[in-house]
Amino acid sequence: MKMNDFSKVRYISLVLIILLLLFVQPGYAQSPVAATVDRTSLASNELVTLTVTVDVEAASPRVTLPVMDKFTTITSSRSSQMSIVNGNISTRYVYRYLLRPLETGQLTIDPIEVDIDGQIYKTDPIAIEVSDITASGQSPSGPSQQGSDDRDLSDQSFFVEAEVDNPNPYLGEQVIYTHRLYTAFTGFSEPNYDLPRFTGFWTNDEPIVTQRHHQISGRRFSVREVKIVLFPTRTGKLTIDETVVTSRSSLFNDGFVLQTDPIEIEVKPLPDDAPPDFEGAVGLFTIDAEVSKDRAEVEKLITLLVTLTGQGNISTAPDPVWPDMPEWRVFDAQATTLTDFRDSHLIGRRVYERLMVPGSAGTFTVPPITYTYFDPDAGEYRTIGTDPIEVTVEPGAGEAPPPVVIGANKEEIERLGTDIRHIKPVPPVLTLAGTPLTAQTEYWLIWGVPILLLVANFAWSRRQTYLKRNRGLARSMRAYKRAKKLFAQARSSTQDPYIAAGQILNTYLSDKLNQPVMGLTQDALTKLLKSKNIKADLIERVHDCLMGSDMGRFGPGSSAPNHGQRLLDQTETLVADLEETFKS
Amino acid sequence: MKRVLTFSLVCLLIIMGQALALAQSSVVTDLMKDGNQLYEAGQFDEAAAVYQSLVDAGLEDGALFFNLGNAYFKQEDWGQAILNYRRAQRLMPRDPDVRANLALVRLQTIDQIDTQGEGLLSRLTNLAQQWLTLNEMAVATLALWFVLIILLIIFWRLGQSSLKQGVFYLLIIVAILLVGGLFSLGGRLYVENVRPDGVIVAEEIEVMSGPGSQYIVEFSLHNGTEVSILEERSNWTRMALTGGQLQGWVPASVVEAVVK
Repeated sequence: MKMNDFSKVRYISLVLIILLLLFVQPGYAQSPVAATVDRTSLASNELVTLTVTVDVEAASPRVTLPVMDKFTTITSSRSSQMSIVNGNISTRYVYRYLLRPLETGQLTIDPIEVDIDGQIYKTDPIAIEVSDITASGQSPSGPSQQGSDDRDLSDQSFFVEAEVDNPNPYLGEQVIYTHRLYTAFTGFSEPNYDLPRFTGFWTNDEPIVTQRHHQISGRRFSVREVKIVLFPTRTGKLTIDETVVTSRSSLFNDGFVLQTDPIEIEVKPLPDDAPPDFEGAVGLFTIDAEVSKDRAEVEKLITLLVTLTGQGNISTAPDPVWPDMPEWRVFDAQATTLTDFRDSHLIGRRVYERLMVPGSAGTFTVPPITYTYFDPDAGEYRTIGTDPIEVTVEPGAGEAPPPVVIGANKEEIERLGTDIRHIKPVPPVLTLAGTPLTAQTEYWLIWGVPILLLVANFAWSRRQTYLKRNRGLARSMRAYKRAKKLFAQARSSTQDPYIAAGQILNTYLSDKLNQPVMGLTQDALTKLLKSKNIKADLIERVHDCLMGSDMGRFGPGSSAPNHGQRLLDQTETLVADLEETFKS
Repeated sequence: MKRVLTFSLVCLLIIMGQALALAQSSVVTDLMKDGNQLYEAGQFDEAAAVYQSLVDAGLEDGALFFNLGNAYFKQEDWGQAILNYRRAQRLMPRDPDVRANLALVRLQTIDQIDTQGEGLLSRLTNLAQQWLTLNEMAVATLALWFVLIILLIIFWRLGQSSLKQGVFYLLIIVAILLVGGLFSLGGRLYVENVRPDGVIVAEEIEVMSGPGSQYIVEFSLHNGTEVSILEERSNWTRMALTGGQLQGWVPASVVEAVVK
């Protein structure tokens, strides 16, 4: 059949169009970037998975998520798969974001920019319908508890994810870091895990590894789950770096390099009202104590076992507060610690073995042993303690005293410990603080007394010297004192009072006038006394006393003794009056 | 009759006063017994509170200060322990227990004090403080003064006696002792009244260049460091370390004087 002209034109046009489509590339090349979601309609309490796939031949691309103020990102992960085809190496990067909607209604995920070697590619916007929470209260989507979920992973054979069970723990509270590797088929070489360094955390040395299977969108994945128990050692924001999983290429596949995104944790400080004996233990603990025997003997060993059990970081938990037990000599043996991971908690038990030796007989009580910890679930401090334990110590069996060895070698006394000396007993009286002597005026006045003594001594010496140089004056000054002494002697002795009166008066006058007066006539004596300004009545009395003395001595018939005594008294009075006159 | 009544009343008042004093005395000694019992039961903070209440009431006794120092030592409050041991030492300078505990608690303090800058007078004063109380030193010095003057008078009055040379040597010895005693007593009075000793009772304190927190921090001191108090001004105290090289200002509440 012959083709007419119109048919020819149509045929040629069609060929040209096909050739054009085959050979004219730019302007309409297939984008290396694609973004998809696993569902486009969900409830407000459900999650949606956004997957961004990037195929490149060069270095890893840079994905910039748009501002999604209507969503919050729960977790994110990145995986990559390398392939070599006809000598050309290409890599597929898969970025997965688990999102929770913040609003209801028609929400849009804006185009996502991906920078590949300086060239910017954008995905198409994605519309999502978010409805209110259904009456049945469906649980949010995500990895199913029963081992299946509906994520769209049709184009992925393996991926990783990482999460923590407690993103806002207290300082020292347990946090479990879980890392999962999902693989759709076997044949991979054993993957190598490059775990993060967990800076700012204490970790247990043995990760807990489990293997199981999980259905995702009808595909069966093998899941290798690694749990690591962490205890934050400082407060504030801590970052757990990415975990990198590498599988080398083999005959059956090209291998892969997958890594998770870093996880941020905000560590809260412990409350300020910690009891004074709190040493940093966080968790939930119990403490028990028992003795190996409750009847002991003096100087025989018994063992006190104290067991600390609970959830928390038992390996680094502080020791209990050991009470004072002065009746015992206590020796600490090493504590043994056992830990286990059960029901998503690190549990453990630490057993302290304390060897005790009683020094004397009697009934003693091992006091309660206390332990203070912080319970993060309750948010408060707790103090627990053991019950007191009564131990009866009996005297040791009688033994013969050791023989006394004379000359045995002596041992140097070894000081085993040092403590302050014991308190003093109560004094009989406790008094208020007194004023020190140096603060009292009288004390300083007393310092002047020796000065006065010195001055007095000096004056006395000067006087003595002066008197030595003036014997007559000295004699005159001593006259009255001498006369008084003589009167006292006369009265105490059996001496004749008439003789004594006369002698004493003469002696006094001789001393006072510095010349002998005995033997002077009455006129001469009168003249002498007048020259010394002695009054006439006194002079007359002098003569009367002297005459009375002579009359008593030489007169006919002795008078009564009292007459003589009266003369003596009169003479003493006369001498005192003369002394007054001489002084004036 | 009136005189007899007055005399009887006076005697009664004296006896009542003595009885009251005795009754008060037994109350405070009972309190101190309670403090000792608390200490022996290991309740050091309660024991310290009892002892401190007696001290705050104005009671002064070497054993009381010693026990209070022990209670603070057991609570590892080195500053208060040193303070109270020093107070006990003032009243019982020859007591070996006070010396031993003071030496032990000084080993616990953090700051190392250089004593090389300490003057002779300061050393002499410190030496005397370890043997005699202030009152004993005052009496001893006064007694030496009396003895010196009496010997001088005797020496003066002996003339040409053969005893004169012996008295002369004795005079020299007593004079030297007196001079030493006067320096020591004077130094001690100077220290107690002009530059009293104090102890830092705060865990750690920054020493400022002036009496205020706006000044420069020059250095820091720790609990138990012994200092000399130079001046007090508006709730700040100027203090110096031994030797006087380092000095500065601290809040008055962190340093307590040994002599109140």
